[in-house]
Amino acid sequence: MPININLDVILAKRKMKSNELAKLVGITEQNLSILKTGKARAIRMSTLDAICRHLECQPGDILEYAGDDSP
Amino acid sequence: MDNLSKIKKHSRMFYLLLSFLLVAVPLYYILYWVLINHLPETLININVSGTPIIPNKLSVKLQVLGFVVSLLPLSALTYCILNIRKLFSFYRDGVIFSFDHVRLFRKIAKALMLWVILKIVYDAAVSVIFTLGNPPGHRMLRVGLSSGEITALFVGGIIFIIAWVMDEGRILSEEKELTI
Repeated sequence: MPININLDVILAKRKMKSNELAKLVGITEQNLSILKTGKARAIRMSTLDAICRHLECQPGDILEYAGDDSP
Repeated sequence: MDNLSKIKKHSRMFYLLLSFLLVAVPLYYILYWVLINHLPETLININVSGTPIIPNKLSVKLQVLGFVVSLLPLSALTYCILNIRKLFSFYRDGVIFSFDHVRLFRKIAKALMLWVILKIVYDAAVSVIFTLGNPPGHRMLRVGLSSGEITALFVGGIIFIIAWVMDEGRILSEEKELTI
């Protein structure tokens, strides 16, 4: 899929652990892992809103369109 | 009792019933052909088209032949029961929606349709076996579809369509699972 998920990068910048974010957002660690690994088919607006709020970032910081070059 | 508990409870009962049928159905076929010469004529002729004009006992060779031919519909029926039992084992364990269910529904539909075809062959063979002792000109080969077989074909077709619908449902369920 030509959409890259840069959640790991933002998490590292904010020095926050995945399980911490999952707890703050209100999703399971497993679901956060699905999102991080790019296996998710869709992301709810409410989830995106919560992630951006807790990581103090924009949706564009997490989701990046990579065109046809990405695997 | 919630819905899932009810499904589990009733599925356990059906699983046991189907396990019993897995033994009972082949046993019925074996006993039918072993005791064929001792069964009342009405019972013998219930599901077969060929009626012996002169009452005659079947030789052991014909009994064995009859049993071998009966293995055709029996194998399809056993395969069908095995798959239905497997389906209920999933329900019994609380697994109610997966690709395996779709696969099992397809197999059950195919087994039912195969059973109809093999049952026609079996009934035709039985009509020959039962009338083989008759004088020349009175031996019969009857090929036909009974209401039971038409019903099985109809049910098989419905199950096939249900399998397609379930597959679409499975895709929707997967989409939902992968929506974060």
